[in-house]
Amino acid sequence: MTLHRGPLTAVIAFAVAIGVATRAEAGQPTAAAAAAPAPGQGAGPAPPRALDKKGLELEASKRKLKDSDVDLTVPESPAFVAIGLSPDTIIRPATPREFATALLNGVDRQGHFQTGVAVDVVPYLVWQGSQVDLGTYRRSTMTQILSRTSTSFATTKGAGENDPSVKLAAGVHATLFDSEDPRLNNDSLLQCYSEIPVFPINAVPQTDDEQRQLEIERDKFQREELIPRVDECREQFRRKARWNGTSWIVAAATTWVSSTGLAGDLDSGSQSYWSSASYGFDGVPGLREHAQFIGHVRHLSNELVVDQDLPGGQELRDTTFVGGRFRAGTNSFGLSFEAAYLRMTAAGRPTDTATRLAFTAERRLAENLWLNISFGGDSGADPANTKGMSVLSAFKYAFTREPSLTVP
Amino acid sequence: MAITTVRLKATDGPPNVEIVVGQSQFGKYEIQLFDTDGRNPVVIGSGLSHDQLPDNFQIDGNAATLNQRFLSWSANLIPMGNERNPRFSFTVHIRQNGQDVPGSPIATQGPLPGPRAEFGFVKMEVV
Repeated sequence: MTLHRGPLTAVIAFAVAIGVATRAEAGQPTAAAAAAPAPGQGAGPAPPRALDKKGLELEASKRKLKDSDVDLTVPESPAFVAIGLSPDTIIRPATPREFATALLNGVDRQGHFQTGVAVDVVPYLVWQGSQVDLGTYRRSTMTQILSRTSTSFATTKGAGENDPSVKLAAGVHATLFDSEDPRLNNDSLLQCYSEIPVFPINAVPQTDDEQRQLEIERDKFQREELIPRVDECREQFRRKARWNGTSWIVAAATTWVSSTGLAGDLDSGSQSYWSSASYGFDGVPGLREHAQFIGHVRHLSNELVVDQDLPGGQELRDTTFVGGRFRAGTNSFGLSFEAAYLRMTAAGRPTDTATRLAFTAERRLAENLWLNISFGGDSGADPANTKGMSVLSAFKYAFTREPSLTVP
Repeated sequence: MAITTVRLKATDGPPNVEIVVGQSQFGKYEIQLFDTDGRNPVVIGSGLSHDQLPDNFQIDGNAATLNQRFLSWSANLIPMGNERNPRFSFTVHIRQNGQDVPGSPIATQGPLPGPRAEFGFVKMEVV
């Protein structure tokens, strides 16, 4: 199979156009940067001091986009991400009672928040899941969205040992569209499942022994007939999810800080928003199985950043990230084009922007031998750079045993 | 497993049985009516959770003739999604005049890590 040259050429042209159009915005403070710190950020940042040229360069050098993770995914549990938590144990209530218990366990009798709490729940399924049959799900878009909307809650302790403060976060994650939803477009599999007979019941058990015997027979039926036949159906008819499906996912999270750890002393903190949309060229011959475009935007506002190199040791920062990636390939060839834009604003210093373009192509030369070529460039995060991007600021090639792009 | 007793009213007309396979999982089910000895089953309804056909079935005849008879259900439940912890919910409603009779609904729920054969019984008492 070969790639279509037309779209590829267009993508490269688009990449160059973005690079040329990009400009650093040093020296242009924004309204957000001039805004007063929001309440609820502890004592709040110290008054900003003016940065000299060396200081500006030091600050800027920390914000090179190439050093950032160009991550286009939306976190499944945004509350955990919002407070930087990677919980070992996540409570996933499945019933209203379990949910209530999880919430009650988050606060003690004196009103102190318990730290280390991480709860992730799909509210619609907890309260209405018993009413949602597969037919309704398949017919109702709103049911699909509600069934795939989760909320997360988390608490974490303040930084110091004697710091009584507690940080809380609440988030929501929703899949608004997913072409690869396994409950949809799987008619052949459902038909196959439908042909499996149910466990036959010939008589009502009248004694405990008869009851136990019936359960043994049920277990045998499940083990020797139902499960093997389901496996056969899956093997034969399960629609393999495309790697390049079309979807749209959104998420948001907000945080609060309680300086005393008491529920009554909550102040608002940062807010985060994420959205990713992918397009798998559905219905486009030649691209449907081989290409995908992902667009991503996220915004983090009122983030309190503590860093001894910052003026006053901390600042309130707003960050916006916009990224896109086009991937295409076959089992012997792959290419990826990535573009990203980062903008940071904070009170008392110029707006920082950075852009990145990267292009990677690889070709299998023989089994376990791939030629990988990439080039790209970064710009911005440098007060002296007002001339846009140098597209060919990096170029490399390598021979590898495995493909580096995740296209089939 | 104790067999639940549901109480029907002789004067309230023929009862209706509805099956709800929740949590958007695949379900195929069959409902049977037994005699007072718990034998001689007759299939009174069957269905699928994903089609557009109604999942409720009327037990024809005079409610009084159902006294001390048994109703059973048997279902294949198969997880359909890719959730971390798939669950199932299986509910049997027995109604007269549109209202659940005493003892109904009979609901079961829990984790569904793989295909499951679910079954149960009720004894009908007519008052």
